[in-house]
Amino acid sequence: MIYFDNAATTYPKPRAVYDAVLRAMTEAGGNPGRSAHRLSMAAADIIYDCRCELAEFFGCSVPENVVFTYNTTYALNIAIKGLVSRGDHVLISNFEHNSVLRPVAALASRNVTYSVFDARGSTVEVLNSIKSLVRRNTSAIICTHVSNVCGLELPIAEIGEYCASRHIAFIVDAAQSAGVRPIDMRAYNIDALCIPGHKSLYGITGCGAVIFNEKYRESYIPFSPIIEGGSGVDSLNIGMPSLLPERFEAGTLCVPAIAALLAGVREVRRVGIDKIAQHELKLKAKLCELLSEMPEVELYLPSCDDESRPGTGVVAFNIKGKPSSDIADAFAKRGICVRSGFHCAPLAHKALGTGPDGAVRVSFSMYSSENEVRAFATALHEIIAEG
Amino acid sequence: MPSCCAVIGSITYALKGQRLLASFNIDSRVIKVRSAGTAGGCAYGLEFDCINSDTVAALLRRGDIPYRDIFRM
Repeated sequence: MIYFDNAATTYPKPRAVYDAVLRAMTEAGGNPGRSAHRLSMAAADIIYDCRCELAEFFGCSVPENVVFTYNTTYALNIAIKGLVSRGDHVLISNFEHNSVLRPVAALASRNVTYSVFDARGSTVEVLNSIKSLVRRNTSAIICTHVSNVCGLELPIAEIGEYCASRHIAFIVDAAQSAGVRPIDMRAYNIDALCIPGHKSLYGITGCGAVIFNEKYRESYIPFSPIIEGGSGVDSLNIGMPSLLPERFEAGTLCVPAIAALLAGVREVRRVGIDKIAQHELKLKAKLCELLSEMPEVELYLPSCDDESRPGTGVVAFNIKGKPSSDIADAFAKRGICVRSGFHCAPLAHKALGTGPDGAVRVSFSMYSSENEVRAFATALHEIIAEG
Repeated sequence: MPSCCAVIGSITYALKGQRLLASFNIDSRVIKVRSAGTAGGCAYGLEFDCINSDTVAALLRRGDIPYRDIFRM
């Protein structure tokens, strides 16, 4: 089998991740933050270790600002619905996933309006697009770091600098970049960084996080959680605790998934984020070279003309005249896993001009190989020949 | 030696406090504080040797770890 659907979730995981999950279930089987017995404390230690690891990795000095969620979507909902107020205007890019687009659109019920900036082109062009759309009541820019459809990387350092200069909140969807592109919340002026556990950080499904900037450590975050419930603290009070992270962590956390994330982040740091990125980009370049030799193939490769934004190992393409779902099926029959359709990102597909059935997406991980890329290209030749 | 308890609240801050104290070679243990002793109900605290009370209080303050009280157990 060839697994090229790593933008959806990476597979396989590092050995250390499987071991961590098993260890969490067998040696830390208590409910964290609810008791003080050995199994509960073992679980709580794993969670706190993971907060520390993530905070350090993403440039946040306070581990308590790492709030665990089920996934990036929950993280984005917490950040967006918390930081955006009634009557505000926000900006999003034309490469957003529905995990940004839908919560923003849903805020129309609170009279929130939004504009879409163009993330294609040079850094200056992207910033000009943003500046042309900012209004007096713009309170937040919410954007993906890297497109899940084509791997286009947005200039988040420059966007963050602009946001800071205008006192605009900056919320970053790092679903595709966390673990494969460097992110420094402090340097990039990110207010809320939303990450998955199970993609390029190599954890398992069931866990993500929103990391709030360390400026939010003063006493409490003034906005409300989107979910209320048990927190293991202040049980006699009707409201959620005011302090992070418990304010946003109602209910029991998924300890095995957090243990997996902890092991995954450590593995990424051990291997080296630059090394992983270079490997995936090398495979992307090879695949693009092979695909560009096939006249039947249409590639969707937006250029940013900026070497500091190389993007990630994601390639979108179609065989002219063939629905992407048929192409993905043909690959699946050959034991090759790719994803077809719109990838929950209709804006990106519109910007890229893909077909009425979306596109086929190939996405690499640190375990993908050049031999697999060559085998993929051979399979594609066969599929094209089949008509 | 008598034990004292710093009432902290959340498990997150209790663990942060425990690691901070450990970095200054002060042993402590995370415990659940009797609910009757806390206004809001459930809370975690740090149990430590009372001889370190002043140091613990100073370190927790310096480490921005909110604590509600320190009492002799």
